[in-house]
Amino acid sequence: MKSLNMRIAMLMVLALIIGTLAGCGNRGSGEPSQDKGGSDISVYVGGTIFEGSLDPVKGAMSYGYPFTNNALTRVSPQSKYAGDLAKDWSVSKDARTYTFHLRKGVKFHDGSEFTAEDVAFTYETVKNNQADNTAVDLSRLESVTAEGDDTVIFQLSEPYSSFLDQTARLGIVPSDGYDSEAFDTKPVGTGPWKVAQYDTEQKIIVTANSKYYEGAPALSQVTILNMAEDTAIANAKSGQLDVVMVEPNYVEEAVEGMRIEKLETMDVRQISLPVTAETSYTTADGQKVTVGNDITADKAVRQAMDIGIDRQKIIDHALSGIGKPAKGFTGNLEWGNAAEFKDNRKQEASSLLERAGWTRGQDGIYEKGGKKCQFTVCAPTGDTARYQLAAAFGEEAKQMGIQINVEQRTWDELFQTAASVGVVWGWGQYDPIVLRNLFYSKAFKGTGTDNTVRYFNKAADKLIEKAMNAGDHEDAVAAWKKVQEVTADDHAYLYLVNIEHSYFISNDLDISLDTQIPHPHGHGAPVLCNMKDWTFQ
Amino acid sequence: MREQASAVKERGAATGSDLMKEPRTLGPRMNTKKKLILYVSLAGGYLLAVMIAGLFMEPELYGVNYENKFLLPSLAHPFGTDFMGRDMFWRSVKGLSNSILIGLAASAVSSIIALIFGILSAAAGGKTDRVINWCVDCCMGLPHIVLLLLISYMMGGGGLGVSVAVAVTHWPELTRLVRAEALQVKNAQYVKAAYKMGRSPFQVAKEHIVPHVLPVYLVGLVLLFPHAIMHEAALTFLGFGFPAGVPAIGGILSEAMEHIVTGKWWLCLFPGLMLLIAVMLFDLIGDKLKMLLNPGSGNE
Amino acid sequence: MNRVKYIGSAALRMLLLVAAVSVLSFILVAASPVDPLTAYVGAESTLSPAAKAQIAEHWGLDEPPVTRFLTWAGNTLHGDLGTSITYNLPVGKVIFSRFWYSLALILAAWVLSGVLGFIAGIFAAIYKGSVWDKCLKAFCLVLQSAPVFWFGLLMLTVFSVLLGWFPLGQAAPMDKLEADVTIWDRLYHLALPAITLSILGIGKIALYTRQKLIEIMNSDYFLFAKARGESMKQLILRHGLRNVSLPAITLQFASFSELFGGIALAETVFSYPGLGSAITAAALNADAPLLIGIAIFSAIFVFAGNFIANVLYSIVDPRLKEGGYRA
Repeated sequence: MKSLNMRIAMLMVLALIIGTLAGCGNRGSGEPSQDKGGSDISVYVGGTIFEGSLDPVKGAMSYGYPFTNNALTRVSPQSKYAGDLAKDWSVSKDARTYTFHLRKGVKFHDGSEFTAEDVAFTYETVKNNQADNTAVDLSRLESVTAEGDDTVIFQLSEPYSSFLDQTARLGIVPSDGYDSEAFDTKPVGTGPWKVAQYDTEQKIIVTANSKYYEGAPALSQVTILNMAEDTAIANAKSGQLDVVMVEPNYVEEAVEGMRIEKLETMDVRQISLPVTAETSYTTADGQKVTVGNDITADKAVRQAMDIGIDRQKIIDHALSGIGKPAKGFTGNLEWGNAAEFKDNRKQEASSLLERAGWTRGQDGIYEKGGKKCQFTVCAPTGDTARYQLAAAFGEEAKQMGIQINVEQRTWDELFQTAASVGVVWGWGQYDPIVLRNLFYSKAFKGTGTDNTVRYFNKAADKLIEKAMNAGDHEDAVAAWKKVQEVTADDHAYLYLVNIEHSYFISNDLDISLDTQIPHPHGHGAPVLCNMKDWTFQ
Repeated sequence: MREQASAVKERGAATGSDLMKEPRTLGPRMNTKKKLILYVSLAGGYLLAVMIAGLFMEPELYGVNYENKFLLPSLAHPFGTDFMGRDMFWRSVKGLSNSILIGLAASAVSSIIALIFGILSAAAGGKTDRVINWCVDCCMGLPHIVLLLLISYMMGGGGLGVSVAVAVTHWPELTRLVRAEALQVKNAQYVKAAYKMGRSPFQVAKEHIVPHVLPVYLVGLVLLFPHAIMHEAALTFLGFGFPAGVPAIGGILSEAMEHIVTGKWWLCLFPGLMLLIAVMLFDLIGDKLKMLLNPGSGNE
Repeated sequence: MNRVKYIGSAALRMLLLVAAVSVLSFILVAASPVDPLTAYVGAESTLSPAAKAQIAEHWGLDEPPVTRFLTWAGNTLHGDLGTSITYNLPVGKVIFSRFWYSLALILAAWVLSGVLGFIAGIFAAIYKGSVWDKCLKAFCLVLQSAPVFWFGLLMLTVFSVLLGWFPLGQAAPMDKLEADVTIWDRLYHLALPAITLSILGIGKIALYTRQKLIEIMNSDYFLFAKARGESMKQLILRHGLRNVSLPAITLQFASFSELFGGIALAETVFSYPGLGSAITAAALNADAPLLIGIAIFSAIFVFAGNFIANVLYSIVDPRLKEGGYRA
């Protein structure tokens, strides 16, 4: 009796195992078989591309360049807006009507003709499903109408000069063939690449669109793989990958047959320094929070740090030398206008502090009125590089007699406390709206991430309003530049570094550095921006 | 401060190695009880030393020093240094000390819950018993790590989240143990007699049940430690818990994971070893205590 | 008859337990101060407040918890567990596609720890008191105390990085299409994670088997058989194995809960795309629907393990045959 029971139990176990293994082995359906031609490459560009949908309507690939889909406009290598599916456009005097004239003869992957109706459909769909799209902000769009086949008119509810940025971020989908579910993995567009295979979280294989309106890409197939970064490096070492995104911590690794390429970005890291003294503040929803910081409220401290720290050394230490010292938003942005000055002037910084009444204490840290010159700088959890930057900044500040307490906090904690401490922020986008978030006095709410330094400058406020409401793009750019000029002397934000995105690139692969556009925030996918220009020997 | 801390550490290290030896080497004349007490105090001493060394350590000892990135283990840095040039030895000691502190708090909280629930369940019986049993089943119905994740998520993550999660999830097994023990004594003749003589349930619990349950409870309490420490480390390893500046063994190991591929073996070997030794020592203390308090089970 | 009744009551218990776990999970997740909106939009988003409000409304983030619970419970009863924010897929789909990977891992580890632990235990019992026995015992004690993730890291360092024998992670070779992946590829990728996960159970099973077998070897019937002149091999096969194996298997089934916890760690170390890495990602990304979904799923899984263990237990222990089972 017993032995029978035992046999049954054993059989059950065996059946379970066989069932599972068989179940695993047989999954995956008849996908296109892999054609190992000479012009196929495999790339690792991080996991972000796998995390969301590939559907432009849901915010996919909103970096300002064509991939599977083209947008109305695109960002040029000089960071200017250029036409893509739109040949040209005009803006009305009141800055509320945008008229786009479309390119003719462009076809979607499915063979259908691209027309104004597709544009109207795409924008309406996003507008009605804003919740699905966190990349394109159409909340100020009132209506979009197709006039004939090749003209689209946008009506805005209020002037919004950043609307052009939205048109570069939103890829156009066909109005007839759009399928919300299918497009998550296989979007149909007019772009140079078509998705041939999509394995959730593992790989995406794209093939060249031979009928692409600007000419077919040179590479015929690209496999985008997802894995842990260290696995990617191991695979690069064994020669299985042609492009590998690497964090600064790994750049010193030697990989045979590959070179390290440091690509330009517009991504900067800055530390916010509250400009008002510590006080209690009641937010709009009745919450009591502490805002301001007594130490950073002293302009001398902010200025001393800005001119005293050695940015290159911070970059060498924290980022293994990857990145360029930054003192403001980068010059590769149309609206970027960085203040120019020499840093690492520690002598001058000391005398600045002493003139402001600070005296060195016994431990080498400045004091004034019994208060030590120390404050907290926070890096958000989950971003080691920012923590490393904060720590390296702390080392520099300490040499100057300023004690920095480096901490890591979650975003939820930072929302509550960002207004009273230094925070390492990262900004890198084509849209100058970020300047409003940083300097507009009305953006301060006590909590959240906008204007956490509680900056107030009437001239800046006026300029920001002017830039936001400008009809003419040039006027807006000029106003945004001026905003940076009038705020520079207040040192409310201490810029540290303009990040560089580093990649291991196969020696046989040319990634066409001339047509790379400066990368926005988010190391990884932006390297694919000009993949249609890549060539493989 | 540095000298003091390292002296404490040396003493701790010496006791640790002694413990690994076979019992016989301590001489035949010592009786079993004395030997047990010696083991328990040596192991306890080591763990206490680590905890105190961590508590009073200057943060400078494990501070950032970018000039010393990725140094191999040496005399100056016995466990090497990491990607920010922090000394791994002091980080590990501090991390383990934090773990032990959390373990202490967690065991205290969990064991008190277990004691109350266990005795209540046994003494009251009926509905109370069923409700408590059901709660135990409910908590044990989820894999422990999943429950920990949920609670630490509820607390919004962070060090507090992990501490609370570890503290409030370790009671179910001990509750069962206490309940079983209490039931045993409840049905004993002398307890029944006490009831008959007009003692209130509370008095019975105080005079008879608690003293009887105490040994089992104490051993269970000590044996909770290794679990609590291990779970704390697991949670921090997964990315919950303390922010980057606060050393925790789990966090240290998850950082080490990123540098394995580039051959930085020392980053994961030593901190993990320290955790392993601590867990084993707690187990050992628990086992020996069991023998001390309950000699019957001592001759396995 | 008894058995039908037992299975029926067990099923009822399971339903109740799953319902309770669901409510518990929901309460825990709903009470969290973590703002899912931040996780979804990103903290440094320059999205306008109007757009953010629309997103919150769409996901129902602005409604009171009780309303949210009722909506969620209603949907769940209809088989709709919601949409995962992390993977942008329905939760059911995420769980189902990842479950196979985790099940393969769990079963491989489960069989491995069972078989190895059992053999080691028997070996140690036969040579009780020898150097081998002591080494094995010490080794098992170390394994029992070793953190799974640390052990995994050491395995990676030695076998993948230093020796290069095994892949660094993932569930399949990166340069192959899903359809071309053979069962050997899968086993090859499964090996290290499975060994790592098996250390959870190996020590326990080995020590248990050893002790049980020693007890049997000291029993009268065993000694009698020995006196009758049966060889050691015969003795062990006839009297030892039979009586030790079922309790050991029972113990194994009861370890489902620990194994499920273990996959969260092992999968993270080996970047293995199963449920363990998904639940970690869900908790870190404030992906409430996925977090609750996997929690409930894990409860069902654990219950299945305990249920099998109890059924087996009632078979092993004749005293329990009539009286159903006890927890």
